[in-house]
Amino acid sequence: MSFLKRAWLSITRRTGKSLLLLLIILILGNAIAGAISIQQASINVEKKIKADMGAAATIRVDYAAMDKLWEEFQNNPEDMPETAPPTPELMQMIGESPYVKYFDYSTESRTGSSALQRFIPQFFLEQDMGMNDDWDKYYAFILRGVQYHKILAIEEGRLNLVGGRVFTEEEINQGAPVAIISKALAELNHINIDDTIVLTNYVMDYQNYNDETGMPNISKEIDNPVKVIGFVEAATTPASQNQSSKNEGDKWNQAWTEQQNVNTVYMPNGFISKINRNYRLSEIEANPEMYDDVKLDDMQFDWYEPIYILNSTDDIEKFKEEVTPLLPERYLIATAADNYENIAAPVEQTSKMANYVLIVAIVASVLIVSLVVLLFLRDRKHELGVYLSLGESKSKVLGQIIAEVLIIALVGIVLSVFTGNLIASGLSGSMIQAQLEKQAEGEYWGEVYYSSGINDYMNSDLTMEDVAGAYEIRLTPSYVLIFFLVSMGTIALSTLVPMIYIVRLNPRKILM
Amino acid sequence: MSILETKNLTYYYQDGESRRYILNDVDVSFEKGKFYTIWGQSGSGKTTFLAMISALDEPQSGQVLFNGTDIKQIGYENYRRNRIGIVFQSYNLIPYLSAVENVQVAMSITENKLPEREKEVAYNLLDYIGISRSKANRSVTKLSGGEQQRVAIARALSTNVEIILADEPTGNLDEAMEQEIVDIFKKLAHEHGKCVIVVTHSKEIAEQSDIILHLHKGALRQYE
Repeated sequence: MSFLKRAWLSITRRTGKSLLLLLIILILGNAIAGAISIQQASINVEKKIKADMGAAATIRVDYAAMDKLWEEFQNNPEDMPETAPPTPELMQMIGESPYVKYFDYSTESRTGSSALQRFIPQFFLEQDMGMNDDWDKYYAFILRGVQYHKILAIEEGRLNLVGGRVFTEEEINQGAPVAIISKALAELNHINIDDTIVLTNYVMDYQNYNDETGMPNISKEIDNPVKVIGFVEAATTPASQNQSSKNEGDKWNQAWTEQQNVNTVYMPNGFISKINRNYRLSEIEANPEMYDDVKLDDMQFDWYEPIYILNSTDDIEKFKEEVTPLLPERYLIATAADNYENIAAPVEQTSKMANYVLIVAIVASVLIVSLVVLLFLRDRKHELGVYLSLGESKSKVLGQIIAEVLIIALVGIVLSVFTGNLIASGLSGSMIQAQLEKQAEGEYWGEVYYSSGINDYMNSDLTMEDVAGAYEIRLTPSYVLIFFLVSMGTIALSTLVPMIYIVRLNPRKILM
Repeated sequence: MSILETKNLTYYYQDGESRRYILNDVDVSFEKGKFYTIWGQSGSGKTTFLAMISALDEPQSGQVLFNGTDIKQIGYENYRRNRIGIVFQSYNLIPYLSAVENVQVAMSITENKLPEREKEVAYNLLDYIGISRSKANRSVTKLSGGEQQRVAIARALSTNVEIILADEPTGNLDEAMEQEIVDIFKKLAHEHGKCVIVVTHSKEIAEQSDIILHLHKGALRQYE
């Protein structure tokens, strides 16, 4: 009768104690399994959402470093070193990194138009959220500069070219007055391909205000005629727009995004640069007292923002590592996935809680299982003494006890794989739902990233509901493997104290 | 020729500066085919002596020799596994096993060569000791005290050892049962050539042994 057979007979014939240990392991196993399920689901959400957010990166100011700089020089701001933005040449150089699939850099401008009607989403019209005032009209259209003639958004599948053509390299290089507009804007204004539209810069006289409107008087209107060469429309409707979103913040976000997209006019960087320069010079001319200490030679008329589409989200960290040393001081690489924490807060919080539960469950398991096994062993000390008196080696006695605990643990753990998963599914689902409802009340609105422009790539149409939708507790091989490793490790750890007890057994003291 | 002997076997408890000797330079030898009793009053050190010769405890000095070899050299576990069988006062059977399984446990631990069909051998051994096959299949907790001690004796014998050591084996039994157990020990010594060493405080049992060794004040002497 080998020690393994003895272990088996002990389990099957001491059913009360075996079942008690099984029950304890099952309860603790469920806590561990549940926590690991939630962690795994959170990791999967992170992977999925980050993949959906895209492998986009840009260069932006490091706000923390700027704050630090301000703090450092608050008493002598004149000595503060300048923070020079990255040049288009540097953006170009970074774009040649092997991790980059496509890249573009873009300048931006805003204009109004006396001839064109801008698009306002129904949601804003219904809400009367101040989107229809005069001031807004002067800056109704977003002129988005393009350096990559095929247009990144089209290459990336975010936009479809539904009429006309994209730019030629020549048009880009020459800064030609050509534009690609959204189909919705074209339909709203009855624009056809090859039509010329006029975008107008309104130069304000900030010294003289209109008494009725409270707005500065317009000192000059600069018309910028451009030829429309193509129409685009969004390639896909964001998943969130298909759902009847309950979250007001999400609705606002969607309407804002739609308004930005429809009112965006794609033009070569060079042409926007000319528009910006003319406008700024006219503004200086109209408001000389505001610019009396500005030297025109030192003035910068354009700011460029780059966007890099990486080969894969897995390349983000490697790209950051490679490129960061090239950046000007107080600039950093930001990626679309950086925003994950904002929209996935409920999942993150649940995951954090699961981490605590896991740690507590492991510690509790080690303590409780150790004590229970130890108590059972004290009951069986005569039996253990008999084995030793019969000349059985301590290693085999240890082997028997370990085998007993592991067999019972294995049954408990196998059951926990399923039950823990089920419990976690129900529990974490309602926890995330509760968090979502809390966010829907507006507590977290400020954390949602609403910026526009080239940052479309950095933003995401994904909502908290998309995150909740991606959250799924499943029985995956990795979950099963991790759970087995963690729980069996915990059980192994739990047998340490009982093992010490056995090693210290003295058969004479027990039996005589 | 002696199968088991002790040389200068000494065991004491340290009590501050002084020592309380339980066994003091005990020299004794045991032969096969004889039934020995170690007799003495309670607290005289009988069980300590048995613990020394059964390698359940270690003397402070002196030796226990099996066939002339120090059991320390043989290895205590090895010695217990292959050279001796021990019977305890409180039987010390494994409660969740049947009588035959208790015997099988010992048979599976020893490295001595045993006949094949282990279980059949265990049944036969139990039958010889007075435990029928139907009782042999019962859980030991359902057997009487006398029957449990028989199972313990069968377990001690099952490993085919030459020395049987027993610590107050009848201490928990009534008189009739006590005699039956003593008869078994006699039979084992006289008919099967075993060296049987029984620790007892009972004069009646001691008088039935071939040699009585009286333990008194740390000295072990043959009792005439």
